[in-house]
Amino acid sequence: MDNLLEVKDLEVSFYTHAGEVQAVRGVNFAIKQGEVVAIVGESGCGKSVTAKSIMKLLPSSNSSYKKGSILFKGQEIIQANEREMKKIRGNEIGMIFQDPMTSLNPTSKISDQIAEGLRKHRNMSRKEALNYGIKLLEMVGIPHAAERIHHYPHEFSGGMRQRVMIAIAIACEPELLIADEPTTALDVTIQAQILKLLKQLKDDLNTAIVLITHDLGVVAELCDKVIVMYAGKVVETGNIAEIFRNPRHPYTMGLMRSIPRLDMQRDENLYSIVGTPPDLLNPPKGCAFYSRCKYAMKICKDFSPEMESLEQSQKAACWLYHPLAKSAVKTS
Amino acid sequence: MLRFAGKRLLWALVTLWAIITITFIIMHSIPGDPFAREGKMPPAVYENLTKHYHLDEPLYVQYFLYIKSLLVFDFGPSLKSSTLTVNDYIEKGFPVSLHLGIQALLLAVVLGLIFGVIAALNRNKWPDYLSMVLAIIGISVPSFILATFLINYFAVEWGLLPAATWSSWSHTILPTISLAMLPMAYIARLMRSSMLEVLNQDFMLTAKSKGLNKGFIIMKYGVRNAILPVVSVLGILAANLVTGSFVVESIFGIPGVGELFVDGIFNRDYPVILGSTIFYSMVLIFLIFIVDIAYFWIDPRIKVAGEEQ
Amino acid sequence: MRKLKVMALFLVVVTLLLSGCFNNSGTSEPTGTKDKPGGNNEVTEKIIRTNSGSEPGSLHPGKAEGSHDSWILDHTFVGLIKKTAEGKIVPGMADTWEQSDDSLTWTFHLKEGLKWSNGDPLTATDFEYAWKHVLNPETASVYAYQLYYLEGGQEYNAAEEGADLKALEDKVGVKAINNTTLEVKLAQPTPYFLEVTSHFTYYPINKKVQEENPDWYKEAATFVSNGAFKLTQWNHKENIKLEKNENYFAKDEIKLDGLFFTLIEDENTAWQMYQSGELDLVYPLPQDVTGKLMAEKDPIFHNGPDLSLYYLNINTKEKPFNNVKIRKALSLAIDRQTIVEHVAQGGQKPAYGIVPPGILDTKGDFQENSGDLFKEDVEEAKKLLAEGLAEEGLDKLPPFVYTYNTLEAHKKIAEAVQEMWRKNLGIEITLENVEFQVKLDREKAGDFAVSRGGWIGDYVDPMTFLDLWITDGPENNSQWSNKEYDRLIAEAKSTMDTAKRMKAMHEAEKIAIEEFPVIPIYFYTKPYVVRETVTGVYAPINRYPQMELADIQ
Repeated sequence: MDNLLEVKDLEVSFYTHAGEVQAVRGVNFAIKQGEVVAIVGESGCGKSVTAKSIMKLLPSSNSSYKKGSILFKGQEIIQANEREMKKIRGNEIGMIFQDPMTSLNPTSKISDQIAEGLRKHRNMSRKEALNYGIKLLEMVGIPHAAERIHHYPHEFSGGMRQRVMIAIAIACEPELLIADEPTTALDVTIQAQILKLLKQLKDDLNTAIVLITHDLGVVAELCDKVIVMYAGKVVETGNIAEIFRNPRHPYTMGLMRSIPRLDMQRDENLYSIVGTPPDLLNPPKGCAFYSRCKYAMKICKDFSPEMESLEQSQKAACWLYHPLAKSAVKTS
Repeated sequence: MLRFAGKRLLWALVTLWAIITITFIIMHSIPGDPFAREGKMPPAVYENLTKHYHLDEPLYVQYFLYIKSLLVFDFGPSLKSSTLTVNDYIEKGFPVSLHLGIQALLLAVVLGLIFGVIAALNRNKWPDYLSMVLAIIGISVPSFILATFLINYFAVEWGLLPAATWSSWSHTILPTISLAMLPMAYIARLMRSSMLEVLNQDFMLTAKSKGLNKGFIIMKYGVRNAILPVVSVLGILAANLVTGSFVVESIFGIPGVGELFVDGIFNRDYPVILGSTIFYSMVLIFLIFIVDIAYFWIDPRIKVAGEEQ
Repeated sequence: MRKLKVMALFLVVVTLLLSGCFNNSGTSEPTGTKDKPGGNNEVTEKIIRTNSGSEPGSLHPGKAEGSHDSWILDHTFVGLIKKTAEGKIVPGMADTWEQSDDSLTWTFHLKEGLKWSNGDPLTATDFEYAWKHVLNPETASVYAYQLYYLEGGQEYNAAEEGADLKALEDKVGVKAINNTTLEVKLAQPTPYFLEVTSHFTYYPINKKVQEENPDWYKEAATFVSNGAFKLTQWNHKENIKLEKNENYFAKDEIKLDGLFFTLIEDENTAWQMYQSGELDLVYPLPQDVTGKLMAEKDPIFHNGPDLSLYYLNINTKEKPFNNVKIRKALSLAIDRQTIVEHVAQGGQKPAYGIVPPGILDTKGDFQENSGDLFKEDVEEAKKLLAEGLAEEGLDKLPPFVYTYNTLEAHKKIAEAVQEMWRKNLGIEITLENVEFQVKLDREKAGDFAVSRGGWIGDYVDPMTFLDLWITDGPENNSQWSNKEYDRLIAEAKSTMDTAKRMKAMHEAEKIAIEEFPVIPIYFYTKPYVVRETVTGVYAPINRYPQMELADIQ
């Protein structure tokens, strides 16, 4: 298969006391070998849920895959059982989490935490795993790796811990790396370092990366492709240039506009999109962006738009681009 | 580490001294008399008794005499027994209570942890409800009722185990169960809530994302972290258990130190009261110290004060 | 994973260690006979297994106190005289005795060839030595007062600081004339003196052993006694084993090989051990068990009189309890039969007098001859209460407090009495439970209105109860005083004429009942169980069940 990962019509819901929250309402995308794809969107848009569902990391007690398929190297993930998933997790797919301060086992040495995956998936002995772990730490830029591998997580700074997380995630040389907001909890200088590291790893190991983030600056650094999500759906996809230079979906346009720029006037207000995202307990029938959209049309209220192909690789889910719509809107 | 232990030892001695003095004062202020009885007690006999045990001396003299004898580890005679001294009571009774206490502690910890973990892993499903109902029963049913109940069925009705006394290992089974119920229930509840908190932590997800086995994750990521609050209560729990339970030892006729304290107060047996208070305090201080050390060992985030990298 | 394995190994090792802790505690529990169906009825050794209720404080006859000591002493020692199952006095260590004309001098002739359990010869010196040892103030014996009947006894025991103890000791009225003759001089004629010598304070002590090792009584290995059994095993706070004493003068009467006492405090547990076949005799019994066995007329159940009285002290120094009619009203308004049947449930006997049954009168039983000295009568009580209140210038009885020491049994009786007084007399009282020690304190200080009391007789004679309430008597918590009563008591104490004594005591009892310084509630009984295979156990009125002459079928 061409595509390393194919997500088709994915629908995921959570069952809460209040009712069914439709977190993901029909997501489609594909990733090729070695591609870096960003999934952007604001909090609650479903990007994190989508990422976790790729490896079936959602809590099984109150979540369910209502529809769709996830194909990883041709294998249907949704139908896979735990035994099969355990072979994939940490091995063929690795994951980095958002908060390095809480994502590592506080009572376990780094050496053990790195070794766990190696011993399980690669059958290494303690000694082999230790030595390999040291190499991994060096690879992610931890100084004095041979000493520090015996330390506990609390003996590392935030940035260092994230590097350790990366080391753990790539230990078994997975083909796909899912990074769920890897730099959100870090400060800007460290952010840059981590991104550089990811880029380097991608170059060295040819790993595909799914980068979940709400920070468009991060996206620009690293990614080939961008997927924009809103209220549980994909609203626009395209390559970096297309999305940044020529966003088509009104939501994406709003996003781009709200990035603060160096050449703004001092007293110019920062732009923000008015309104708030809809409640996913009762998602709207039509386009979820309807209530906040400048260009809203009557049809937008009642009918959900489908993905329309635009130039090159860009696609947007908006009635504006329907062949029957009056005219395309140009951004300023 | 040595400095730490040294400081703690000094502090312990100060604490003990305060406990002795306060107990001494309170003990002599409450009404009651070790030699009062509901029988004949002519004045001459009473005076002979008081003189024999130095209770006719002024309080401060008695206090100093007592401290003096403490320095040679002599806890004094019992006012109620001419045969056994307080030292005898403790020397003979403590190993027994210790034995019972250790067994009960082991049972409580092992089963408590297991139930707590099972309950947390199966939250709001039947294993959880069952474990928590058992825990509530364990906490609410007084140990003497449980003890009598166990004796009635296991010894009297079914003849499977002996009813009482401390003559062989099988005699320790029923008392151990009776004594272990409450701490087991307590540990189970504590472990359950601790485990639930840990299961919500981010690193649990990290573990799952590495494709590790469920059992491994539960132990190394779950229990290993959830056990910390349980360890911190183990010190006091252990102290309670190894210094003998008055109720359980009474019912099963176990010759431990459990009854020492209560009988001492009831009889106004001053040396016994002081002796058992000191003894209990020593055990408690020691066990808390052990727990603190254990905590350093278990939780790598805690450093001994003064020991910086 | 490695850590887990280490922990598991540790657990296994600890458990093994702990289970091995029993190898040499030296406890050999005899299996005895088991009455359980299908059980093994082979009699290995004839040993009766019973429970003594708590670790003996002292098995030294001179320092013993209470039943946890005396029960063991009953079976290991014997005094000058013994008593049969019917309560008749027969020779013990002494074969014959006579008293002087003025009844102040008694001469006891010991049997020939008496021996201690360790083979030492037992002589009159051992008696003299033992009694003087008890009276020695430095011994601080709790029961020393039992020997105040001897001339010079009280003086010696009450010696002041710096007195010449040796001189005082020599003046005590007991002397070993020769190896088999003991001369006793009394302070005043004491009609029941012979009876008193069966109290454990009067047992002999091996002088040689005591002088060589004053701690001889603390361990089985050094324990020397002269009775039917000897102490062969004492695991402190666990159990005591007695074995037949081959040096006992009446050893051929002893059919048992020994006795085994566990030392368990909980009554219920002791009963459960009987049920599970681990004990053969149990005394005392939990109250509800007594009630049940009595109702079922179970053949293992035995009940007999006990030399003790359950009563209420009334503080006659506190108004309005100084008024006789009020006190009498309170007494007449109590339904004792209900209390005995439904509250205490031990087969006790309602008390309409002060002296319990089981004491010999000139002819017959003292209590039977007294009869019921008063009758409960609610109407009469109401009348008396009204009259009494009028005399005191009150129109109703102010609420007062009934104090009892914290025990479930006492609580139930207190509640019953409270209800009876409320229903029958319309008075409201409050109940107060205090710790035993506190109650004693308060009684001595006169700081109470009505308090629960119990008295166990020291010797089998009505005087042991009646002389409690002489004016300024140390146990006269009611602080009652009646000159005629005092006179009668003094008379009964001074004459050796049994008929005269008994008559005086009967009259004194009547006075006590007329004035009610205390309200008697019931006479205790002695309910116990013993397996049907065990015979020959009898329970004297002032002792625990005696097993000396028992046998196992």
